[in-house]
Amino acid sequence: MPEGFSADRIADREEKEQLMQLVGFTIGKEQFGVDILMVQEIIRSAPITSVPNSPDFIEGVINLRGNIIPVIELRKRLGLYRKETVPKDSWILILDIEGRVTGFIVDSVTKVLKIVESTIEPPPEVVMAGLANRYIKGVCDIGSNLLILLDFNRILMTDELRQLSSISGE
Amino acid sequence: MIDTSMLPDFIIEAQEHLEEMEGSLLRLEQQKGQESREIMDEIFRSAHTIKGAAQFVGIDRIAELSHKLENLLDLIRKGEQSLTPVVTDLLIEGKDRITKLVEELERNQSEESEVEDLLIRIRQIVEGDAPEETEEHDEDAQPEMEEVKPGLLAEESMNEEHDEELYNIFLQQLKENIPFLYAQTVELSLSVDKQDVLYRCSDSIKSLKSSANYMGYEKLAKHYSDWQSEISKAIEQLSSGKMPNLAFMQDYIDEIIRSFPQAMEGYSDKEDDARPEAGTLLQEETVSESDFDHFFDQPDDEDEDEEPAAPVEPLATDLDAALQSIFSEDEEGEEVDLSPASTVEEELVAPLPSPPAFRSSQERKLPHLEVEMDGEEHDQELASIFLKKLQTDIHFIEGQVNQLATATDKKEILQGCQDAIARLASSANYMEYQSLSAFCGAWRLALQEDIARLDLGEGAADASKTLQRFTQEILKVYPQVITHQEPEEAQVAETEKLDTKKLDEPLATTLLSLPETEEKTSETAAAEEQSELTAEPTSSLADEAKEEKADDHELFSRLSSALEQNMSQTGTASPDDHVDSVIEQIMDKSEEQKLTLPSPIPLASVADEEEEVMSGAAALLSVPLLPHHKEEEKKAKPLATPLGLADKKQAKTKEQQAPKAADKEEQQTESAASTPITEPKPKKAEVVPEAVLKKLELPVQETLDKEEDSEEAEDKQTAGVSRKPTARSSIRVDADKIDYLMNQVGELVVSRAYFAQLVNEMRSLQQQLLEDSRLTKSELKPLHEFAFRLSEAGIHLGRVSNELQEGVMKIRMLPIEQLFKRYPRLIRDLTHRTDKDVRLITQGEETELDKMVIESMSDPLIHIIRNAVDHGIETTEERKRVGKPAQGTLILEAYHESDHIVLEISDDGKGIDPQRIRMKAVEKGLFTSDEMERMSDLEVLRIIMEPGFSTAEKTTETSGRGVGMDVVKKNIERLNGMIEISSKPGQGTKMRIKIPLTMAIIQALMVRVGREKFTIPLTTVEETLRIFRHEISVIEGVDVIHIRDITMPIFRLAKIYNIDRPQEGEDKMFVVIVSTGTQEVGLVVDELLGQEEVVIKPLADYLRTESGFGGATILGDGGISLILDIPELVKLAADDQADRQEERAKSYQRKRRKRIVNAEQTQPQTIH
Repeated sequence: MPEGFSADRIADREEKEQLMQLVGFTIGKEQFGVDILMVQEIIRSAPITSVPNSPDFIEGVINLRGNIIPVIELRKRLGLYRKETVPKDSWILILDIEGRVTGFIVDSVTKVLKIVESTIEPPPEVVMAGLANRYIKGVCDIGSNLLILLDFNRILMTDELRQLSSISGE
Repeated sequence: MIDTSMLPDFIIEAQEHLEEMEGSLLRLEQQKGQESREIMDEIFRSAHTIKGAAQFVGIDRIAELSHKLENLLDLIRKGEQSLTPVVTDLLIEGKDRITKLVEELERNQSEESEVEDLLIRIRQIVEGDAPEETEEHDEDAQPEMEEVKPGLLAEESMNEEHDEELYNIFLQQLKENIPFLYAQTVELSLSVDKQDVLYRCSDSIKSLKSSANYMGYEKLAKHYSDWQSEISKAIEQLSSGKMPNLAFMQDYIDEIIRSFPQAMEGYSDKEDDARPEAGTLLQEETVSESDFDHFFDQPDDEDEDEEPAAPVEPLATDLDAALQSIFSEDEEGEEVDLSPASTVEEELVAPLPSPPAFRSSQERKLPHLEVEMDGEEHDQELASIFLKKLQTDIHFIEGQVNQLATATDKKEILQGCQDAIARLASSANYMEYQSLSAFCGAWRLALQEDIARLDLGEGAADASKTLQRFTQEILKVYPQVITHQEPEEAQVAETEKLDTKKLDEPLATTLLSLPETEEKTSETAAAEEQSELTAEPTSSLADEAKEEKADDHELFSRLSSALEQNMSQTGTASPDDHVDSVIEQIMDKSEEQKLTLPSPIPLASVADEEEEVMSGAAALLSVPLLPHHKEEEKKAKPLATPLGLADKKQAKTKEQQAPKAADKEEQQTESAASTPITEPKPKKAEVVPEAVLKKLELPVQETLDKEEDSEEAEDKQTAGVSRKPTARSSIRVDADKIDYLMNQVGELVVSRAYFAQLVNEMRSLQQQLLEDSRLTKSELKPLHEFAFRLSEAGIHLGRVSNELQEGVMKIRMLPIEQLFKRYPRLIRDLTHRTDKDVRLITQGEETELDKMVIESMSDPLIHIIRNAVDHGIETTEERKRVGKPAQGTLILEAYHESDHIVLEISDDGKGIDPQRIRMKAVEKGLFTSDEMERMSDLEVLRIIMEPGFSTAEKTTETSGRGVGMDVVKKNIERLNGMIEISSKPGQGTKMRIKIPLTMAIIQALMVRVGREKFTIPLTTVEETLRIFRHEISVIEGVDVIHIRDITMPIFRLAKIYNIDRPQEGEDKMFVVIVSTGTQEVGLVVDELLGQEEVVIKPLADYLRTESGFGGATILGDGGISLILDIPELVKLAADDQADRQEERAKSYQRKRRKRIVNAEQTQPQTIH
């Protein structure tokens, strides 16, 4: 179809020029990024009510102005190496992942980064920082460090979560 | 194509009407052949409304099916078709199909199910040929229909039954569609909207294709497919602005005619048959059965040579030639007249078609069109609607022409006219008045030309001339447009079809010649003028306000029609002057009567749909008018005298009385004095303004609703049902808005709880100060007072939020009638082909509950009712044998019980035999016979809700798979409800369902385990106990307690959820006895915190599955408490225990460790 073709072309052009805004955060020493449009808000730690019998990476639920939101410990979800000391002042990133509002605990939130979309590269074959490849959307060189863009849709994939929950339940 | 913006409205409306229709159909069936006019009218009305709306939105299949149903209904109503069970079944099936289509529309915005099969059957019945055969066919087709609803599949299975009958049907379809395609092909060359024509052809071919498939004619089907693809190519070309070569159409048709000469032969046969009997009943039937036939019938009655356009050429003879000539664009003589359509389209600069040509063509068409009208007698209602439409549009155009001279934005006006003409063309198309439709097409093009020239600064005068010229032509052909107005409208409003028919005919003749109108006394004239008052000021006002609104079009046309009437009455007087004087008169009058003019907006809608608002108005006018009105109508009905002065006089009388709400006696004498007439329209016109006066404060949007409602109200009224008019009692609101409101109220409830908590904290602080800080009471007095005031404020807040919560909840509440009224149909279907007779009694229909709850109760009730009818109630014979009344009774009852609704479904059937269940349960391996022995009868009854349990010896069509009651239980549990079964063998069964009023807020018991707080829905809580450790005993590794001779398993919440607790070795503990409906278990908790009303908040699905949590709620302090899903939790706990037992058995064998039972008892963690 001609229109589809032209739409593609427009998208191509836009992509070349477009800057992507990312919210940067860290877990341990790794730098991560998430599209700013997904971020609903960032809160300092809130009282978390644990949910028994849930997978261990689910920290519990919080009350966000009357809505009950599950909170996932991103470090555990991604299977990253354990941190020696638990940081006292962790942050909770509240993301809207296709309508599912979920909180993610991260060590710290750094800043908003502007990145030209074309500089984002597909994830390398080698596993990064002990992080399973499938959760990575892409990587991006930000000078000193590599920034890992996470695929939160993947992270929140229900089948996987359910599977995990049944494993952890046993 | 479907207008998606209108679709949601259509769906809602259609569903309402379908529901109504179903109720009426069932009542009709119950009357067992006694045809009830009233019910027929109701069904007819529903079908008609659905048809109208479907056409408007562009939903072809529904429109066609409902149209055919309507035809069938009409025949029944006229007594030409008896109401056999076959017909009733067909009607019900038709209704079902429409329902299905509507559902499909709701899901996918497209119609998927075929309607052909039903159309064929309807046609067979309408035709009336070989009724026994039809019946047989019906019997055959029915089961298949039920099996595979989308007709296409059914067709394939019928392949083997290739017989004479099928072939006939196939031929029939061919005979219909081929001529139609022929006609369309011809039209193609003329039509402006070629795409539309092509789409129509494509549809027609599609149905042909399906019939070919159905017959297994592969080649033919392929031929059709090719054809279709050619058409879609052509459509594509058209949409990209190219002019495709459309000659292929003819080739394809020729090909088919070559292979199936019967298609055309049969056609001419029929024509021959029909002709000698033209005008008789038979003719009518032929016509109704196929509008195309009718269409092709016409030319023979006409002067063929004079016909300007091919659409009306006799098909059987030399259509080919005509076609050829048109395709080659060989415009000679007659054809020039209408061909400009295509010429103009190709070259926009082409000159205007010459006016004389049009005039002459129209004049020549005049008799032809008349005949078209008469031929449609069978569908008079349709014709009258068409006329009404024609008249509105024509008057609108006239009005616009008058405005044109003075208006600044001429283009806008002309465009309005153009739209009106387009509307006219489409309605003409629908009526199959081809010549008129072509005429409109040409007109529109001419106007387009004018508009184009308008841009260049000229042509305004031309435009108005063009408009006038065309209008005049139309008026010549349809003189009824001027004079028929009132009868037409009355006809539409009046459902007493035959009456109106009688009325209509004399009217047509008398009014056409207009002798009586001239004789009208000044009084009647005044009355008439008065009726114009309603239209006049409003329209002018509203028109100024918003010119482009579609309502105004209608409205303005009212005005102009009023003018038109005046003109016809007074003959010579110049219309403008006359109107002015009328307005003056009216103004005076209204002042006299202390009538202030109502605000334009409500009036606008009033004038817009006078007859519809009538009943609403009557309702608004409150008591005195309503009975009077009815009385009059009653009197009026039998009379069918020609419309005359009396009627007008009556209108006037009424008009004078209405504002005073005059006393009844006077009215009666007056209305008796004047000759009453079935002519509601003038009355309405009068009644309305007063009503509106009283309701001036109505906001605009509500007025729209009012229209809708009053339509309904009118329906009820005309049906003679003396129900209280429910005008404006409901508004439609997006469910999301209510949900949002509900959420906010939920928040308020939470903050109220927080308030209460604060007050408590304050009290303890006070106490602390008193005791620890040794302050005196007088020193603490200000604090004390403050605490008191705070608690007062809290109480107030509580009261308000309680009421608010109740109010918001009530918004969602609907009477359970909504649910109950679905079941008569179910009973009918269940008993239809069995030897059972069941009467359904519903009680407490007015009981209200949450819409969500209603929806989720629908399926469980279906299962229960099915079970009752299928297993419970015996056959008529059997009932007689055991001395019960032959007719079984099923009672559906709803009532309130504190915060819950109780639904009871009881039947007087044979009941459930516990012994049989015991047997079956053991047989199916659900329980051991030992277990069975120990169960009480009541427990045994609950087994029927176990998945996979069924007592039925074999699986029947409706039940026996052992899923039903399991589904019921699941659904009810989801609602936090309970179900109880009681049964007395031989006497009947009763199911008692207890469900909360709403799903959003529940009463709950708060408990604490460790540091966690959990919420247990109160519906599941049976009782709470405090027990000592020594009361717990262990049976087969399961902790149990004995209360009142019952041994009950207990589970420790802390163990299930692995919660650390400091004091494990406590001697006393709290047990909450919860019930899952089939089982009671105890849950050990640390503390009971009390009862609270909580708002259920959803939990993410991955937290909900297999966790034993149904949701969460926010506590007064902002904390979160998880709500336990008791049935799920009990299942989890039981599984857990089973696993543990297994594990323990293993480890016991392996290591032979001793004291494992005790260890597990005291230190559960060691096992894990």
